[in-house]
Amino acid sequence: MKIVKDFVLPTVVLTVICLIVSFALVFTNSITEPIITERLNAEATAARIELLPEADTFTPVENLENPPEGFVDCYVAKNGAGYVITTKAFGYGGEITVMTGIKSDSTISKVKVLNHGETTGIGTRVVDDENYLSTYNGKTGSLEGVTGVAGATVSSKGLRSAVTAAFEVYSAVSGADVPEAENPIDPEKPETPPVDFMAQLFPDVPKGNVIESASEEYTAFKAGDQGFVILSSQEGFYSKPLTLAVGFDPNGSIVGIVVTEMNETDGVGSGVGDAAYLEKYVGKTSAGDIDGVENVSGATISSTAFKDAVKAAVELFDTVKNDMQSAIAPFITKIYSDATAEEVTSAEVDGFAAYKVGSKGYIALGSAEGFYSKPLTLAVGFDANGSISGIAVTEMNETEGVGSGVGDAAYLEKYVGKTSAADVDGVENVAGATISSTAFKDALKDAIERFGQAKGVLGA
Amino acid sequence: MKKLKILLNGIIKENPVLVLVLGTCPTLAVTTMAVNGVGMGMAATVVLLCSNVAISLLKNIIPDKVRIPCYIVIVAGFVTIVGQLVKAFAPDIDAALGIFLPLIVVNCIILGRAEMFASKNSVLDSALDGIGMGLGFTLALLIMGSIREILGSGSWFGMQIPFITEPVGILVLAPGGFFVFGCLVALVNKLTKGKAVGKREMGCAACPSASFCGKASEGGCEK
Repeated sequence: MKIVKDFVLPTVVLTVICLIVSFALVFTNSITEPIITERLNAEATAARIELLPEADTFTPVENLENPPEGFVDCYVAKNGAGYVITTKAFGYGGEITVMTGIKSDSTISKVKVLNHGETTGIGTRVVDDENYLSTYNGKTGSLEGVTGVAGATVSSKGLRSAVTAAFEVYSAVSGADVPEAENPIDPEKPETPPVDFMAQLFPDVPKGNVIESASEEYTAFKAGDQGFVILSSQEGFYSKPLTLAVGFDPNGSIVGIVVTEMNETDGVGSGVGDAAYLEKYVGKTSAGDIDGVENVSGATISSTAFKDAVKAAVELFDTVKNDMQSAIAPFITKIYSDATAEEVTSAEVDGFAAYKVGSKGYIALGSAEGFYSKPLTLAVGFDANGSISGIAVTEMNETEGVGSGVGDAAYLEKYVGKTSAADVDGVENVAGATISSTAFKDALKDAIERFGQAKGVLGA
Repeated sequence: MKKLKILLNGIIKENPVLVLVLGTCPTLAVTTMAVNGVGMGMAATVVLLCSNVAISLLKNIIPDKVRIPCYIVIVAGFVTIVGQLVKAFAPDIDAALGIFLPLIVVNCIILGRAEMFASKNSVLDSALDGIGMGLGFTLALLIMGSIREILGSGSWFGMQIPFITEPVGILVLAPGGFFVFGCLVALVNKLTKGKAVGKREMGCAACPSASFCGKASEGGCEK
C-alpha cells in the first residue's frame, strides 16, 4: 500500500485539485468574458468616434490583400464619414501603436497613440504631446508640413511611418488616390557628393552638350550625339534604393553603368558596384541579355535588384530616344527662340561644345572661376559678324542676391551688340559684386575667343 | 485574545515584508509610488485571505509530497479569478492596478503563509492570519512607497509637496529601493528589540537560505 500512498494518492489529489480549479476558471471566464469583450469594444469604438466624430457606427474591413507592414485593423464608418485605421511602427523603445482617422476627403481628422515605449521626456514629446499630434490634423497623405521633434528623430519617424502605413491601407480599401509621403524627416543624413556619372560614361561629350530630360516618368540625359544616359532605381537588400546611371549608345546597347546610390552589404551585395562586374553588361541590349549575366555570388537579392534596375532602363531606352532625339540644349532656345534640332550643328572647340544654328548664328561657350572658385559658364550667341546676340547662363554658383545679379536679364541685355573684349570691359559691373562681375566678363571674353575658332570649324 | 494576536501578528511582529523578508520583488517594484503600493497591497490581501482559507480547508486532503504544486495551482486559480472579476466588474481598479494584479501569483507571501500557517491551522485562524499578513504587507508598502515617492519625486499620492524642490531621484530607482528597504528592516528590528520572530517558528520552508543550508535536512537551525 506504500505505493498507493506515495505515488498514486498524491498524483490523484493533485489532478483532482487541478481539475476543480480549471472548472472554476472556466466558469468565471464564461461569465466575465462577454462583459470584458463588450467593454473593450465599447472603448475601442469610443476611441474611433473621438477620431471621427461625424461617424455613426463602425464596421471592420476584412480580408485586406497584402496589408502593409504594421497593419492592425481598419474600420469604416457606415455613413461614409471616413476610416479609422490602426497601425504599428517601430519607434525608439519598441512599437508605437497609432490610430489614424482619415476623413472621406482623404485628409487626417486626428491621430491617437494607443501604445508606446518611448523615453519619458524625449520620445514622449512626440507620442504623448497633444500639441505635436495635432500637427497631423488636416494633412493629406503626403504629410506635407509635418516636421519632427528636435532630439526625438527616431520617435518622430516611427509615428510618421505608422501614419504613412495607415494611408497605404486607406488607399487600398477606399481606392482613393493618395499622394506619396515626401520629404521624410532625415536631419542626420550625411551629404554625399553627387556622382559625376556623365563624365564616367561619356567623357568626350563636351560641356554644354548634355541635355537633361524634362519628363516625369524618367530621368534621362542626352549626351550630345554619342548616346543617352538613363537613371534607374530599385529597392535593394535592405529595401533601400540602389540607383544606377546606365549609358547607351544611339542604338541602345549599353556602353557602361555607374552606381550612383547603393546601400548594399559591404563585401557582399556591394559587389554589384565593382568595375569588373559592371564591365559584364557592356554591349548588352535586351532584358534577355541582362538575365544572361551571372549574379554576384552570395548576393542574389542585390544582384536581382541591380538587374531589375538595368532592365528598367533598357525598357525605357526607346521612349527616351524618341523623346530626346530632337532635343536641343535649353540655352540654344533661350538665345535663338525658334531654333530647331535639324538646323543645329555642333563641334568641339577646346573641350567645349560650339554650335551653328542654321543661318541664325553661332553659339560658343565660355567659362571662368567665380566668387567661390566654382565655375561660371555662359553660352553666348553670336551673329555671323561676331557681335553678341544673346547670352544664357548655363552654370553659376554665385551668392544669391549679390553675385547672382550677373544672371539677370537686364544685365545680360547690356552686352548685346558687343564684339570685342574691350567692349566687354566697357560695360559696368553689378553693384557690390565685383568678383562675380569680373568672372562673368572673363567667361564672356573666353567665349568670344572661342567663337573665332568655332566659326572656322563650323563654317560660315 | 488569541484570535486578535494572530491578526496583529502580521502587522509588526511578523510583518511579511520587513521581518519575514517575503515578497521582496513586488515590494521593490511597486513602491515607486505610494498609490501603487496600496493598490497592490489590497489586491494581495484579498488573494491571501482566499488562498489561506482554501488551503486550510484542504490541509488534510493534500498529501505532503505534492503540497507545493497544489498550493501553487490554488493560488494561481484565485489570482486569475480575482483578475477576471476585477476586469469585468471594476475596470477602473483594473486600469489602476494594471500589471500588478497578475503579479500577485509570484508573491512569495502567499505561498509562504500557506506553507507556514494555513497548512497547520484551523480555517478561522488561517483567515485571520491572511487578513493580518495582508494588512502588514499593505502597511509596509504604504510606508516604503511614501518615503520613496516623497523624497524621490517630491509628491505623495500624486499631489506635489511644495517644499521639496530637489528630490533625490535615485530613491525611485532600484538602488534607492534597496536602501530604503534595508533602513526599514533595521528600524523594525530595533523597535522589536531583535526578538521579532524566533527562528524556530519559521521552519525551513520559509527560510530564504533553505536551498543551500546544511541544516535544512536536520529540521532547522536551532532545535
